[in-house]
Amino acid sequence: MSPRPSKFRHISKQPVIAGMKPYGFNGKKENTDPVFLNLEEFESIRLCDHLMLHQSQAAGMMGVSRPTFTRIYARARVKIAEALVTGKQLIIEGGKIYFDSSWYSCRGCGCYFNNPEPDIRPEKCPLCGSRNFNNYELLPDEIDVEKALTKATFKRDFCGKRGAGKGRGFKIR
Amino acid sequence: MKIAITSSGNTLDSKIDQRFGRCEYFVIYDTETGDVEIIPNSSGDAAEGAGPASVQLVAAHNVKKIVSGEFGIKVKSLLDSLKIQMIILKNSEKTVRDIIEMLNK
Repeated sequence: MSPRPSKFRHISKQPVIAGMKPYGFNGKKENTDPVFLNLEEFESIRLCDHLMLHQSQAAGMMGVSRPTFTRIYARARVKIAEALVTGKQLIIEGGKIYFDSSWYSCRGCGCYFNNPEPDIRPEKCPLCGSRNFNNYELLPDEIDVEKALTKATFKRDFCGKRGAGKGRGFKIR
Repeated sequence: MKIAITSSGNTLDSKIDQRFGRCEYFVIYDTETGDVEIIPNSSGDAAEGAGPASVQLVAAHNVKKIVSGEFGIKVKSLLDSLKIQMIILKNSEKTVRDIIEMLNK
């Protein structure tokens, strides 16, 4: 039986670099293959270690379950550690991911529009032709964090009224 | 380039429909030839999946932009993958004719 195909992971922000190169290498040149970090792994590091979110919040933002997120995150740390310790080049690419297209709001006619071509910035509003528009943040981070939080509370209820400490979860008979 | 506008009636003087999946009519306007085609939305009464069905209908006409009041969550991701531009005009009293004039400017 083949396993269930994995879900697409939502990436909120594209990395600003395509990778990292080591410098001042003074060990023995052995294996210099680059380490490939998936975009989903990069995103997990960004959410957890840079934005300091909880794993359950970060999982909600990426649209995966909390255990899956932990696995992605663990993989990311192993890869980054390998690159750091053995002095390998780090390349950020690939992964089963999707982006939100960017949205803009026009001050001329009050409309909102998205940009289906992520590489080209729109020059004018597609409706009224005005150049007076700016980026419109849908605030996916805020909405999703809230969703993730409600999910987390739901999970807590599942464990009954016991706290997060000793004896949580199932009762011992 | 073809642009679809959701309309609440089958004339050019009817107002823009605030919903995409359950709008009454689609007005398809060709910016090059100036042709206007009005097609009724057959999936407007469906219990479920009106949005994706409407996307299919509109995409079959080779539309590149859609003007509407609101797009549902299923529709947004679908249109993103089809590379069709969404233009949201909220709480607007504008008629379809107004919008076509705006597009021509």
